[in-house]
Amino acid sequence: MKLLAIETSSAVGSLALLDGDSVAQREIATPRAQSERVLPGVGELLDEAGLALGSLDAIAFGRGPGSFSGIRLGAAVAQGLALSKDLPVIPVSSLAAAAQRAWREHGAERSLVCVDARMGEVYWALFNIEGGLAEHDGPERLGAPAKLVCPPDEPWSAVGDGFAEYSAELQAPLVRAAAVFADCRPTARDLLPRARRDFAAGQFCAATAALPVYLRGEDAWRRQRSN
Amino acid sequence: MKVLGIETSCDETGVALYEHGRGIVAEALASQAAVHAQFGGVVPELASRDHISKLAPMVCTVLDDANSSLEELDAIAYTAGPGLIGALMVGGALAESLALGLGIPAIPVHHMEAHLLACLLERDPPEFPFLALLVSGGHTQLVEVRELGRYRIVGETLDDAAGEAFDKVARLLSLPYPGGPALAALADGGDAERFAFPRPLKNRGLDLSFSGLKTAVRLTVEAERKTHGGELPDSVRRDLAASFQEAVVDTLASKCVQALDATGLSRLVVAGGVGANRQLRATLAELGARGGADVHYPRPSLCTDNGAMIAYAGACRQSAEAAPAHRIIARPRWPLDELTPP
Ligand SMILES: Nc1ncnc2c1ncn2[C@@H]1O[C@H](COP(=O)(O)OP(=O)(O)O)[C@@H](O)[C@H]1O
Repeated sequence: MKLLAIETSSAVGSLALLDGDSVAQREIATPRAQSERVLPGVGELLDEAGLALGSLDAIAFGRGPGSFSGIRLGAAVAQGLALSKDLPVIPVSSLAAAAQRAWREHGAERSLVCVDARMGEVYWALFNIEGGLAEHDGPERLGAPAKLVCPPDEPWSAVGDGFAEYSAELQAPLVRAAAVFADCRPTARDLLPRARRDFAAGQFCAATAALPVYLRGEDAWRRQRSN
Repeated sequence: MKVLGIETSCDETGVALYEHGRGIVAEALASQAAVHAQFGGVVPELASRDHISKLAPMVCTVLDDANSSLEELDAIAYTAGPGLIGALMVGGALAESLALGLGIPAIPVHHMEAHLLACLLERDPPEFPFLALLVSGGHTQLVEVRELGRYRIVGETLDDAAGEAFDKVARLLSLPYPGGPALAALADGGDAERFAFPRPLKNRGLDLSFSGLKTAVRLTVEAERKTHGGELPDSVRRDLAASFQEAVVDTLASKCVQALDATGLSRLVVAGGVGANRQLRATLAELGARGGADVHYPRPSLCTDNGAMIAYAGACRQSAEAAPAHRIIARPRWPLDELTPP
């Protein structure tokens, strides 16, 4: 299977190219560099692997939640590349990618991923590793750090920059966590396991339907305005 | 040669296909007015969200309508600035990645240059050089256009843009967003002489100013409210709108005459959203007829933001652009006179 993955939901973006069993990757640090480096980076990865864009099976991208402009950049690039070669797109949760990475790097089997959402809020979701894949255990949520609910059972790891940004508000869960990996951001490489599985299962979409998932809806701006 | 044009600089998603020898073959436009109306102005984040959900499907629709396909394209032009950074980024990212995949150049276009060149898409286009009155929501400039890429700004607003003044006064009169067209409609049939609003900087060089005018309207609105016990009668609102519109049109027209004089040019081109204003078009046409100047304005749909002008500006610059670097360019601020000929 040949897949290109793009993850730009955090301040450190990355690209990954899967070709059979080998994975090549590239980091693009800083949000500004992401827009300038993402396409040259795609070109370099393909060139180094000797692959043509048209020979890929699909394009995966981190669909968020995360930085709004970041996930839009990832979606637009996935759309454009896929549309040009009539390839399908696989949107993958950026929170799941963080859990996937925590497992790959630290062996974390159960992760509460919590990411800074600005405006005094965080995104969070709980994941279990099943068959080497981060699976949601409950929905992805957005809310004040105080609303974050600790998993009641089994040891779990605290994953994501939300735990660093709101360490005071999240004192209670942090004390109960078996381990804390606050700098464990999602990477493109960690989108690949899910993308592979989804592609094999026929779960992908047309380029024109590949959209970010923001979690924060229009009413946030309505509330902001009435304040 | 076929060039696809993509516009996402503000609150309009525009896509069009331009073909040498045939002109605009197909186009699509999606306005976000309804999204932003409830907020009384453009919310940048919501603008970006709307662009990304509409843009790619619109590209497909335009190519279908033109009986064409991505493989037939020779280049993709997109608005690289000036505009809202997040909105620009959506069009730039889609255009550059499509171009990378198709192995064709992407052409970053200056939004205001595209406005300036839009009139060349019309039948009977003006020849270079000409004077352009660029009046939109964000800009009010008088530009000496020597040739493609050689622009000199000879006068501009010191504060609000003309479109901004229309929008702000529209809000004072409780008109829905976007205010310009609504205010022009209300002014229809109003008495433009009832309120004597100032003509700012009328005899002082080629620069313009609209914030004093806006303040004068606000003070009059407040005084009239008092006189009428809170609510403005419809006839007063109509007359206020007509008198304000007259003051803007009068100011713009007299600056155009002065600028034609100062530059020695004999052709005047009107561009940008406020160029859709009927009163402005009528006044300038009359003025041209009297003074012997040749006045051009594109049809209203080419005055407001659209994909056609981006495709066309891209086509004008295409041949000479450097090899594709695939860098997404988004420049929120980008002075027009930094441009050079291709
Ligand atoms: N008929 C009209 N009369 C006056 N102003 C108008 C009219 N139609 C549009 N406008 C104004 O033009 C501006 C939009 O023009 P546009 O060229 O799209 O601007 P920008 O690119 O700066 O957003 C708005 O301020 C709008 O109110």
